[in-house]
Amino acid sequence: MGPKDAEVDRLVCLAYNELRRLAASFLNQERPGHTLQPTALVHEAYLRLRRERKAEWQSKTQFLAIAAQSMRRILVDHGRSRVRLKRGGPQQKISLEDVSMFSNEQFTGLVALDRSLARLSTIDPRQGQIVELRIFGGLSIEEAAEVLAISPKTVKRDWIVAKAWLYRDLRGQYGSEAAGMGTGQEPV
Amino acid sequence: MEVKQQEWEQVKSLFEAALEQEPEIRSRFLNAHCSDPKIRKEVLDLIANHEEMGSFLTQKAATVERARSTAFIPGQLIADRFTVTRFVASGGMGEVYEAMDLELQTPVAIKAIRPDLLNTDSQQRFKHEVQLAKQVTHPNVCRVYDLFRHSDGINPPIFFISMEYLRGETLAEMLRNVPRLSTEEALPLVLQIASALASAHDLGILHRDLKPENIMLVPGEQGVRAVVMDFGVALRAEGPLTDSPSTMRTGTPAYMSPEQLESGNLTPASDIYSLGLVIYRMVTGRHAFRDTTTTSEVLHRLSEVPTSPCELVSDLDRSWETVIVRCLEPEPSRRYPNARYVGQALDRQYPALPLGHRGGSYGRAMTDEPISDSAVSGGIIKRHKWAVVGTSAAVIVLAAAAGLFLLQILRRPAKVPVELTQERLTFNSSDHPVSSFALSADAEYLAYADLAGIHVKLLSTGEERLIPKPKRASANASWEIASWFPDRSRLLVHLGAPVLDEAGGPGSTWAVSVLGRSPRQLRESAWGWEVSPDGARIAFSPLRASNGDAREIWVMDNQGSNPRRVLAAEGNEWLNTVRWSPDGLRLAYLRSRRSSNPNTNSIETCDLNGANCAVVVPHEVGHCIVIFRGCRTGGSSTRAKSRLRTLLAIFGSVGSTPV
Repeated sequence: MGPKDAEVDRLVCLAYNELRRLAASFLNQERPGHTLQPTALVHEAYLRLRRERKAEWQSKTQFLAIAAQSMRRILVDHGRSRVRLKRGGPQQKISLEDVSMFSNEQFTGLVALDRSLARLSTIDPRQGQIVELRIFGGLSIEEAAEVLAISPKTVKRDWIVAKAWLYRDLRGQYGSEAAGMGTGQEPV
Repeated sequence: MEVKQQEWEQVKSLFEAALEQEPEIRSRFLNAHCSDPKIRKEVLDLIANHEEMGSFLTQKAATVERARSTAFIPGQLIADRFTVTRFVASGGMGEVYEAMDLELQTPVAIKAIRPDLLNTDSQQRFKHEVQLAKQVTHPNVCRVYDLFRHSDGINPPIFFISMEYLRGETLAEMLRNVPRLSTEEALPLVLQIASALASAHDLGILHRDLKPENIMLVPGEQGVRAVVMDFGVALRAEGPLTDSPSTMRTGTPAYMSPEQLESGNLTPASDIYSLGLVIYRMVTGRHAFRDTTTTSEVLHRLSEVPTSPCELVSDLDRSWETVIVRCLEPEPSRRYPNARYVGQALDRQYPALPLGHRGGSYGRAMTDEPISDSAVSGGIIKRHKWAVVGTSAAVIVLAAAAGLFLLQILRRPAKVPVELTQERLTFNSSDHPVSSFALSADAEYLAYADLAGIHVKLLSTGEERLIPKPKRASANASWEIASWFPDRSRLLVHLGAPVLDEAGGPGSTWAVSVLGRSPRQLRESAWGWEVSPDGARIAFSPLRASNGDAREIWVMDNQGSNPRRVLAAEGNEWLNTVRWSPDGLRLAYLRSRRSSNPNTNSIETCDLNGANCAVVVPHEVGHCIVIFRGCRTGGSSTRAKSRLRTLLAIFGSVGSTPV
């Protein structure tokens, strides 16, 4: 591992810790209208790290990629801990009403999504990354395209297939109610 | 049935192609384009899932809100004084209601503060802000009456503010209905908003969240009254980001300045930036930065300037373009120093800055901005004081807003009634003299140097602070003030070796924060003369030896980089006392000649390329000092009042003939 890799590791670590701290303080707050927006967290983390000048990002896109990855770990870990709390162990099958995304009560769908996403990544790593950036980093099609240095058209194409694949995979795990993920508000 | 990685590429392209076909012919289409039944089945299967998944993964985040409980309900009596009439709106800070003040029998607006925004600390701060906001009684600022606390004995108390009740629509609502405003339509609104900002800034209150949603348009007999709401009581967008998630920016930062996005270190310039965005939105119909809710757009804002408004509206008046661009300068010090200048730049009828405007902590006495003739009226001048400097006793007499005093002389050279008053400002003993001083452009602060360091004194109260010399400077090194930065946050200072110490070297130029940050060396072996009126550049002279003769004039940026030479002296001459013109396009300086005894000086000016030089006052014996924007800096020099007229004329007619 060269000094460059070490630097990237350090950046990942910084971003992860910052995001985790922000997310934790957010998730522990119980208040009406509580929503967690990865985009807001990612902005916040970026601005803080920039201000504190702890890190020199090679580029904004480098940060976004790292942040999306970190958000995935954070949110999924949080989801796991909630599953454990509720069911007394991580191996319990998740009930169907849990499979709706990200709201504080229904966090556990993320764990299943994470698992499906891991499988998708073995078939198509790029699609896996696109889903990670879009869902966990809150990035738009254009932003994801910039991060991955591919055209927005390609991202859009991959995104549609990836969603269909994930939907099928989740349904395979939990039945057709997996469609409960996402409540049909504003499309991303 | 799993598809292998190498087959996946084929699946993807077939999926896309098949999806474009009508559903009933998809099967046939696939048969024609793919011979592998396994792949065909996979594609069809994915398409079936695609059609079934509906809104699956359509949310990038959790946007499922729990049902919100409202703070008050219509009909409810709160704080034993108000009856809630109706719910009006819900915003980032909490909910707004219309209510009836039973004591005064008048409708009021009530803003209930979200309880999670008020912890013990923020409660104190918020109370303080409401106290401040109450002082703003400007027709274009929504009056804040008071802060109340409603408790029903069961639930935690709810804090709410009572405010002026305004009937109308917000600028945001209006802009949704019209594509854009003409400059004629926008002008009265902009003038009112600018005037509202300026009046609050005078009291040291920042808005911090100016946006079309916070500007209420109230129809009235004399046209539309624009009223800025939520002055200084915006809870969420303030200050440095805290650890509390409640202040996290969950809303759109669309109208925040770069410094607000980044460091949270806010000044009036931040509000002026927001004002620029609002004007931009009004006259172009578009937001200056596309969709600022996405991460990358927000990050762009930290350094970028938006598309020129003229590109969007080709017939936009140039003065509007200029104003918008200047408001949106990423660097705060390059924006207008006072919201009044925005009004002035757009409208010549706009009343100019009150002269010697004591409360206007953020104004400059005189800048390159146009100041209408009507501003210069004889009556106002009486409040101003004039200044001379005593050498060792350091009795300084002040010229508040001397710049305008000078302007007045220029414009009405005949007779000017001037009332001179004296005020002793420093009390140093003769063995501990004041070595240099500078008055801030608004004449609010005096900075003066002596052996202890630099003292910054707020003239209205006499309050004083000491900025010590940097640790590495020797005890008797001199610490000479050259000028204030126009935003008043820093001083341009020369750290020199003691005059008689030959070994000390020529000294260095520093930017010294008056806000407690560490001083920063800008350039070694240089004498900084003055910061340009827009704060972006510094005129200096490189110094070769400790005798300090300056033979060249240079300009660098305010960080000490990009130095370039403007002018060099010839033969036995040297250059002295370099000053910027109010428009920042020219420099004036003394050219001193050693040939005869005593030395002679001439006053000259040149542009920033050292060209188009003009001799304003030819060589003559005696001390003279170049004063451009009033008598604001000085050392132990004498100054001739008769010079003032001449000097002002230098820039009144851009370096041509003196009057």
